[in-house]
Formats: sequence, C-alpha cells, structure tokens
Amino acid sequence: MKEHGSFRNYHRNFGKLVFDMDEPFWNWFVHPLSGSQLFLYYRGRGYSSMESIAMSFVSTALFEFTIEIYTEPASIQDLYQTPIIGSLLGVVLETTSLYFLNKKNWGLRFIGHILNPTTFFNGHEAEVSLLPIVEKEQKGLGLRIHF
Amino acid sequence: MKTILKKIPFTAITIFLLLKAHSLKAFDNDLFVRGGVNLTHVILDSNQGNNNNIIGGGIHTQFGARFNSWEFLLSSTLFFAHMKQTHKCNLGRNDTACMGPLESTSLAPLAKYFTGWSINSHLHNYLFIGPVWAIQTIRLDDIEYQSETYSDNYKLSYLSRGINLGIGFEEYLLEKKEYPYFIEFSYSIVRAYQLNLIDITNFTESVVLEKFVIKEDIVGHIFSLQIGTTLF
Repeated sequence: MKEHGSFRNYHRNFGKLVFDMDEPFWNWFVHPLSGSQLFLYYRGRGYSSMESIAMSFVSTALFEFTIEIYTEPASIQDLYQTPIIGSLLGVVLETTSLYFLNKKNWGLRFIGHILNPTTFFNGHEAEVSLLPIVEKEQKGLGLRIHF
Repeated sequence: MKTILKKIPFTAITIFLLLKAHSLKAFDNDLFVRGGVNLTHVILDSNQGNNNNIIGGGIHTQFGARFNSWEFLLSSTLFFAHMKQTHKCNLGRNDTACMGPLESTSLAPLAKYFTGWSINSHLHNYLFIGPVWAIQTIRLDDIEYQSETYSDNYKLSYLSRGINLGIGFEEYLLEKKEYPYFIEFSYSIVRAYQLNLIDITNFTESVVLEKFVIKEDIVGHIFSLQIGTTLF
C-alpha cells in the first residue's frame, strides 16, 4: 500500500470495475478462503446461509470499492469469487467442523474449532473471553479458553 | 440520465436486490447457490488461419433467484487447460508463437427458462441465454517480443466477450435442502478485444507491461458440460 497506494489512485479508481490479472493463488485460493471466513463469521452470529452470503458480498463490496481502490480498481473476479466460492468452501468447513465438534476426543474437537474459528466465540461451546480480575491480592485481565 | 445510470455502481443494485429478496418464500421463489464441475472444449479461431483445440476442466458456480418458470442468475466457469499446439499471439506488430498452461475465468449474467418439458416427470428441461465476459490467461512457456525471449515469469491475458447459451436438465425436488442436481450443456462464442502482457516476477504483484487492442479476429468457441447441485 505504501508503494502503490495514493489518494490520486483512489480518485482514479473510484467506481471502476475491471478483470484483475492476479495470480491464481490470490483469485482461486486466498479470496475464496477469505470469503469462507466471512461466511463462517456471519453464520456464527446466527445468520442463515443465504443471509451470510449476502453479508459476505456486502463486506467484500465495501472492501473492494472503498479500501482496495487506494491501490487498484475493484475486481470483478474478487467481487464474485470471494462471497460465492467462499460460501461453498465455508459450508464444507462448517459441516466438517461440526462433525469434529461432536466427537468426545478433545483433540478432534480442537480440530473442529480450528476449522471454524468462530466457534471460539460467543454462542459456541468453546469461548475465548477476557475477564477482569478485581481482588484484594491481584487485579488484572484474565484470558479464558473453555473447551 | 444515461450518465447517472452509468455511474450507479453495479454493487448498489445487487445489494438492493439481495436485501429485497429476503421477502421471497419457498424454493419456487427464492435465492439459490449452485456448485459443480465442468469439462470444457475450446476451439480458438483466428483470421491468420491458425486454430487451436484445448480441453480442460474446472469448477462452475451459479448464484441467482428463481421466480416460477424463470431464473435470473450469475454464472461463473473456471477451468484449467494447456495449450499444446503452437498458437500465434499477436503482440503489437509482432506475431509470435506462444503456448503454455491456460487458465480461464468467465462471468455470465443469464436468463433461464424452464420449458415445462420433463423426462419421467423427474428431470425438468430448461434453456438459458445471456452475455458473457471472459479472461483467458496463458502462462508463457516461451515467447519472443521486441527481440527478447520471455518465459516462466510472464503471462498473456486475453479479455473477451460474447454470448452464452445452452440447455440443461434439473432434478425436480420441492426443497433446496434435498440438493437437486443439474446437468447442462453450454456453448459460448467470444471474441477477444484486448491482450495484456504481464510480468509476474514478483508473485505478490502482477504488473501489466503492455496492453494491445486486438485488431485481428480471434474467436473462441467454448463447449462446456457442467454437472452440479443446488447447495442452498
């Protein structure tokens, strides 16, 4: 961003939509993976699958049209592949994660949490939370991870 | 008015449609996402007389809305192949041989119509048509341009546009949760309008070295067999 970003680019790229020339690693792997995490985040917040896709699309569009244009124009492939292919990958990760989370073995349940990191947060069996500690002998912040 | 309409981002309209669509009811009037695989045969034609046959495979996705007998959707087809025969790439004033791994991405907004005809009342027939935009990228094995030989860290990207139409069958099921499958045959005819020579020496950044407006007629005939299922 430092090398190629500028407000001149921002003005020039605003509202533009192009086919990007990025390597398959970015278009076929990184963007779908990011999309899957967006999908899983909204699913973890209680949205339905279709609502999660819609929210992933809104998030992607906001990023493409307001942040990425600092360096390059918004990409057609990214706008489509991030939410749509990302949601397909997200469904696979969610289903596989649920399979492992239902196992008794803590190692397999841990894998289930890693596959779907949103299960670490509110509403799931494992919670990562920060708790204030206010006692006579000690005061601070405690990190709790519950499996 | 035309200027104002042109300036409205595609995104704003799509977001509005997505948000409005939550008032739709059952699968007969609902949004859907489909995924599947494709087997694709491409015939490249140019007026220089050299043709190229390419066979590849990849994934196919669809996102859209169904209203009774009509569907309006965005379809994307990604496939990988390899250009084995020598094909001439026109770079500015130079014609040069280029071949290598090919990657193709296409995006097509389509209108689909269920004809009402079915096989055993189980597989319902449909037809679809719409414009298509595509980008085909050839990672160069070897290419000469301006007395220099480029290989490995360079690629050529063709931008093309055309028409996509086809016929297919979908399993008739009442609920999306039953994952109805589909099989369809698609044909696209696309004409290339721009060629980019890209430097990919730095993996994280693709630098466009040159852009060429294509003056010769390069037409692609894309035949694709797609099989998949409605996921949600």
